[in-house]
Amino acid sequence: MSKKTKISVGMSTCNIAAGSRKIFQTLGKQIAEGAIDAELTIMGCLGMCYAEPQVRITDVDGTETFYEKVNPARLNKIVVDHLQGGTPIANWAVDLDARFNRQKRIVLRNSGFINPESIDDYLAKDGYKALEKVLKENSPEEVIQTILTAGLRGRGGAGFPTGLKWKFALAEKNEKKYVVCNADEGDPGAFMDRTVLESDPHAVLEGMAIQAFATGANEGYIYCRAEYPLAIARLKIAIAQAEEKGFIGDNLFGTDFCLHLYIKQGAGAFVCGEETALMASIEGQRGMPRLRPPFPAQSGLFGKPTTINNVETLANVAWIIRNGAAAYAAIGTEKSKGTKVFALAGKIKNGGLVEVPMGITLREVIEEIGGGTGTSRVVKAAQMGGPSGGCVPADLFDTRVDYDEVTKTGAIMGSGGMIILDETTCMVDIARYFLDFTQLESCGKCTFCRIGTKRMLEILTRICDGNGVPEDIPLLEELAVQIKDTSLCGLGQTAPNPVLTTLRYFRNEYEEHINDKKCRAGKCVNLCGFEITDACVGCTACARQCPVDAISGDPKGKHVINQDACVRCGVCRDVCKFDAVKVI
Amino acid sequence: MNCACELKEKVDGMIARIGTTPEMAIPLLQAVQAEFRYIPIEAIEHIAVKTEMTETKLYGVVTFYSQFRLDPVGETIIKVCHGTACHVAGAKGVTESLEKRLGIKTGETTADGKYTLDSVACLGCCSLAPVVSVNGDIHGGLNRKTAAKLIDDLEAGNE
Amino acid sequence: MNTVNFILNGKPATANAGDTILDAARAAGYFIPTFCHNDKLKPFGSCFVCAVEVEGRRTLVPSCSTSVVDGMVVNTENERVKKAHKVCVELLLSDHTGDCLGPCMTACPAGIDIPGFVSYIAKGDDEAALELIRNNMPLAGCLGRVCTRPCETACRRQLVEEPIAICQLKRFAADQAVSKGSNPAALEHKLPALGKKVAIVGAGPAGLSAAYYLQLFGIDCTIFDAHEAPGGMIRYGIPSYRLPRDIIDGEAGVVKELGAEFRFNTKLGSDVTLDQLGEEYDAVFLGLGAQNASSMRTPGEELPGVQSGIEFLGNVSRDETLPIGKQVVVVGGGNTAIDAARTALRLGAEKVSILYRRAREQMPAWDEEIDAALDEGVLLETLAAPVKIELAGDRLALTCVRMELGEPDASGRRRPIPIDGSEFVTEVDDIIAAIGQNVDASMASGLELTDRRLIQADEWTGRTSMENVFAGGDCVTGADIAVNAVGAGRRAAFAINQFLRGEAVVGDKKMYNHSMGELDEIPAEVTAPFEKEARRPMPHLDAKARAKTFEEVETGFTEEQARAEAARCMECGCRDAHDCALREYATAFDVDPSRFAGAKRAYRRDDSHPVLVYDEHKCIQCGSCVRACDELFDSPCMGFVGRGFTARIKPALDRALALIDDEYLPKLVEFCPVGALTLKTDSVATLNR
Repeated sequence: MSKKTKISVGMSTCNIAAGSRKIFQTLGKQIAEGAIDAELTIMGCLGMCYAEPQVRITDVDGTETFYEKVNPARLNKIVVDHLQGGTPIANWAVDLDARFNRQKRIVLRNSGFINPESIDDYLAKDGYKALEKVLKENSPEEVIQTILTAGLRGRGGAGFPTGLKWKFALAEKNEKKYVVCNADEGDPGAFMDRTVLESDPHAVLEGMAIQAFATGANEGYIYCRAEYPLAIARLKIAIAQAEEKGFIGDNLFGTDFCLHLYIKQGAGAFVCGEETALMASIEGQRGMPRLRPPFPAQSGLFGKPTTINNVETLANVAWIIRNGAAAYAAIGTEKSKGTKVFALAGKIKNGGLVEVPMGITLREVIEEIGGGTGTSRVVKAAQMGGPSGGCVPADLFDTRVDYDEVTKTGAIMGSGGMIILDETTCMVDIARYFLDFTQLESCGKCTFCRIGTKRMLEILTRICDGNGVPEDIPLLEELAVQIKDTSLCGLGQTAPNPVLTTLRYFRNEYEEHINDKKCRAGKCVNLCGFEITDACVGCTACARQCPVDAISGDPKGKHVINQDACVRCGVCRDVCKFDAVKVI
Repeated sequence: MNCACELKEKVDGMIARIGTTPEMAIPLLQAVQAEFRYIPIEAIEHIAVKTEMTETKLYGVVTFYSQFRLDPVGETIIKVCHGTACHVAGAKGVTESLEKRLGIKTGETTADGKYTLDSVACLGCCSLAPVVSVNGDIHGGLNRKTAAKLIDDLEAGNE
Repeated sequence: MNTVNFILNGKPATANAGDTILDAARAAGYFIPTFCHNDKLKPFGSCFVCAVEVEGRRTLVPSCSTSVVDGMVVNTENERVKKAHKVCVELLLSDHTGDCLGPCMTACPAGIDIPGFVSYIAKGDDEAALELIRNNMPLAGCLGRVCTRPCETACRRQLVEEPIAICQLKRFAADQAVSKGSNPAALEHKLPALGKKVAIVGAGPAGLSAAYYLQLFGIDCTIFDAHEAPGGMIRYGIPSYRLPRDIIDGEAGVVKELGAEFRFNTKLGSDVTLDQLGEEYDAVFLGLGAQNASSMRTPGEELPGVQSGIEFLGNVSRDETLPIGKQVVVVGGGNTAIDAARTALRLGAEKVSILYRRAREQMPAWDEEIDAALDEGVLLETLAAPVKIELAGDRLALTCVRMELGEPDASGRRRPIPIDGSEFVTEVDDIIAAIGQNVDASMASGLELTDRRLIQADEWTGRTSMENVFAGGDCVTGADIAVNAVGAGRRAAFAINQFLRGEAVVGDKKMYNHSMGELDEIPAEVTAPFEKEARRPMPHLDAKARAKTFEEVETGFTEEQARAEAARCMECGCRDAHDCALREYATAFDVDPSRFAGAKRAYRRDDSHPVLVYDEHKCIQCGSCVRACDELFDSPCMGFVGRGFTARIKPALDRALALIDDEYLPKLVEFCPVGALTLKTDSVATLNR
């Protein structure tokens, strides 16, 4: 037990990008020099990415003060007033309970509260107690039943009942079985798994160990994308620590259960988030998906029965074991139990991770927790599920967070990425963006995905360039149906979704692009322009930001955009505080 | 440029460390790339000689995964994130600005070998969109002007 | 052995446990297309053309890898499945670069396998060449002399220097057979007699062609013709110095040898009527030609001394000693006008001129013919047109007016406009008007005609408004080139054969053809490997001497010339066109790949290997060759490279195939369902292999 003040500095990728390393180094220096008397440590991320760097100070008497947006200037004052002066700065202190008022933090229970590189911190939070219980008191069948009763569904996006997946694998009679943790979080706009891996890696390891016990496996791989170097580093440390303490290895907790875990890095292929492609990648091959059947539970990694689970799914497991299936099932809706972590980004005031109980409405998540756009513009739609998902229009925000309800809108729950869009987002461009992504990431094995998505992208590009024709819409719809119906894997089967949902809810934008050659959002450069209205007060902000110096005007006088020089980047509209730039 | 025997020695060391079975193909190639900053063809040939892996399979793996490069890269690798949040926040403008400032297109390396400009699907720092990574360090909230300034700062030696 | 019971296309069916839907459906006689499926390889799931519907499954499933289980409800033929099959092929075709058939072959109205026969000539097998030609065109000697050669216009060799002398090579093959007395295997291909008979009216190219193929189908023909000898327009409209009579008689003789009966001097309408023929015969084919001369619409054209080109040539073909005046004017600019002019010279005229109202460049006649005429001493008067003809003693006074060229007219040629006050008069002895022919359809009373007073007939089958009457050639199209008539005759023969056998009358099969495009769309890589080598010129008699006789002017290639000329052929078209699954399905599903036009793979041929040729631009990424290397040959020659739309299949490290020392390489050809991998040793001939 430390008798010193403890300073925890947020050291997740987003915190670091915001400048927390410098904060950490400054504090370290001052401690070394004796200017501050405290213990310096790191913590993970609470998900409040709009307010980083973050620092938590735990005083000797146990009082915790949480500071956010700690830049060097703020740090100075905190050092002087709080660390040296002994008085927490009350009006900077964040009330986390109030912040997380509508959230239910199960997956993120430890994130931002513990040092992710300290196994002792994890143990102090009942770490590895679930594993111990399971090994000493339960059979694999009982564990599976608990997970089934809890109603845990795969959080990677497909929502398949986890207990069922484990049950199939357990039923296979094979000496050798594997478990795999899918940490290849490839959906652009999703960073839930990254946060858990960087902030609470042991939760994932414990979940994997229980997964292995329940399915009869004794070897496991964590497949983590190479774009997450910090996550990989923390996983390596965590595995080494767990091995040292006997939570991974041979004869765990004195039983005859053994488990060895290895890390395999991805090499930049979104398709490797698909189960069979992931396994191919672990096997050292190109990440091209395989036919199913046989399913991984029967014949997976190296031909052996394998269960693959997502990071978020696994992070739930230890909690469920410790608190019981009923406690988990009490949260959520009839078919969607527990919580879901969403990564809010885009045109949102409070971007970052939120963990909410299933059944909460999208409106609550976006407007009340997320704070809406935070500007004078209204939310137009929420893109859920990444390239496999769809855009849910604002008038459907009473839809509850529930696998089936969301699917009915045409979108999917997905892994949790939720990008908020406003009137400056062109829905045709968004569809094109996702198809562009899919085309880059398609493995190229099957005909409909390889060639079909290329053709869809070509059509959308034409439309955005101003060369669309009315026949393009039925052609897009036809291709979409064929590709969904006849692709080898989930990437192809879901690739048309963004197009289909935007056509369903925002068909008028497509028609405007094609028939009127107009992009109302001001995104497609050939189909729009910008003009300054009389609301202009001459603050010159736009002229200063314009990258091509196309705006002229005297201070306090109405400014004018030179249409020939204008490149339609939209910066003027973004920076204007008087709403004086309109799309023409 | 490494001489052929130096390259082979280094690769031998990696093989000894990592393994010779086909499943170690990706870690082995990642080690080669970490050392040489790209995958020299001679490395592929040598690995095929010394392990169970074949040139065809190795080449197929190298050309499948975005991480691997067959051409040398610049000293500084700049990756513009094109994730959804970054796209919506203006990644295109950042890319155009960097392309203009460096005089190259995405995927290319400057003639003096100093900078390689690349795009990446998503770095997972969506709240900081638009995001650019410079040799792994994340810079967020960029616009056209600050993106160009980033290069100015790099040139001036600040980082 | 366990049996599995399931429902297949609405009917109960059984299969062995472990069978795939593909196996079971095929065993039950249903058609399911496949590309990446191969019995020797594990299922892969790349092409997805075999997708079928299984009740309860959200998406379509690949039948090649889905096992049948009890109670499964499978549909392989409904709209959803058929649409998926069609779109799959259309998508693959949209990313496919290559030609099924060479552009020469698709340009040929008779569909002759040109790359095939040319390659046989290059190799020295002239009999095989002629046999191949006769699959589509029985008059190789005739057409090999007078055809207008649409094939050569399309020939891609001209991108290097000049087209291949296809027509002259065809003549060579025919002449070789004549000189060696061989008659390649025609009788061997004859089907047993059907017991039906057909009346063919017209022993010209259309009629002879129809009769040739009908005889091969086992159907007996009687050929009626108003003239006294066979050939139609090619005998009576083309002089013998271009097409010797014995060549015509020889090839008509082949038709006779096949069993056809000829009845000459019998004219339709007067000696025999269409109704009579329709009663007496099981079917009738009309190849009447367009033998009525068009009017010059010039006052005085009915005067003696003025005749049509057709009439003139027809008379000369019967008697090459006919008298002619000293000064002859031929009006017209087509080959008939040239023929008439050169014939007039041979009859002894002292001064022969050709009068044409536009400029030389607009003359429809071939340049070689015009040059040959000029070499022989024919004069060419362009930009002049006749105004009126009057008697001038025992001569004729021809008044002409000079013309200048204005804007283009409906035919696309610049319109000639008379220059006021430029009239001039010439005194001549004979005037020959060779300005075109039309059809006398009155002989075929009872048939529906088109607005242009031609016989209305279906282009592909030749069917007319009367149930058992078919027609083809000039009497349907208007005056046109001979090879079109030959093609029409053959097509009608296929249709008549079906008609007489009670089958659906749809004519010959029309296969899908993929093309690399027009001449200006052919990538430079296609022609780059070929070094310039001039086209072999056709040897001919000396100009001045030959103008006095009717001896054949062009004397034909020597063997050496023919072999060398044939070796210039670039062998466009795909060696696998007869055996390509992509082409087969494209034909069966009646595809339209232009719906999905977009970026497509670039031409990339590797023929460095002694035996194997890899056309990467034709690959459909099925991966069978890769899997064969992995699963059967344990040899790492081919592998997948890259990712997504630009993924390709290549040898290791993208090396040239020549550098790969692997005995298994040629075996990969049998695994490729399309023509991406072929053997150099396989013939380029696509028919009758």
